[in-house]
Amino acid sequence: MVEIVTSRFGPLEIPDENVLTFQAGLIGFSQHTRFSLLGGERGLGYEWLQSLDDGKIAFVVVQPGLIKPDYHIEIQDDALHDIEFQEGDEVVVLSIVTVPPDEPEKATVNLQGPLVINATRNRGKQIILNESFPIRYPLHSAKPEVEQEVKNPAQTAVNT
Amino acid sequence: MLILTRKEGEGIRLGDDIRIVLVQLRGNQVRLGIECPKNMRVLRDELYQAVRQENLAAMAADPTHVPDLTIHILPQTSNDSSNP
Repeated sequence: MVEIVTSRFGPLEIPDENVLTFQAGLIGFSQHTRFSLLGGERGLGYEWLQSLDDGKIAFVVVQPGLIKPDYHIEIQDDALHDIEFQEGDEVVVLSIVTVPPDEPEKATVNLQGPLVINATRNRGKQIILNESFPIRYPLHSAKPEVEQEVKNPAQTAVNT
Repeated sequence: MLILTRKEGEGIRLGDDIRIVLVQLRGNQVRLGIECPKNMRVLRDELYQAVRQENLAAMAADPTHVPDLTIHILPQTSNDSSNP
């Protein structure tokens, strides 16, 4: 059981089986290795990745396929190794959402640096893809009527 | 920062497992060859910095804004989500 006081959600008690370990932390935050996914609003598709090392640090994450259905990534062997992947393990890909403080409608999702998670063994890693993807893919690009314009993954979809 | 001067074809060793070679010099561009363990991440610096910066920006997320984001989830197989 991990106990932590968080700035957004108050005090939390996280059972050990819900602790997600990112051995290498996140890019630029290598010391933050323990997280937990808080799906407080289940069904909305968004979850919070809460740091268990620093109660002030948390990220909104989303399955990128819900925003961009044709987003398919190749996970390299070194990443699979780092998340202790074995045949049959469940792997989940999540992307970090950036929400501008006063303009939530301009939220973007980072498709260049996804989080690869071994849900079976609770191990995670943030990888940076070799292929070029938008670091700030606008969430509003997911609107069905503009779906046609976002077929090319290399395009940074910016729609007014 | 350690600064070394190399000519085309010359290299640099970091520890025992990493080797960087100046493969080709052409105008204002340099082609670098990198030999290192497979599990080592090798990235263009600006890409690393950009992702790091974005992680930093994403840390400012506020729970009150998350419900606002749900309208951007594409409707899945069920048809009861109305288009905005």
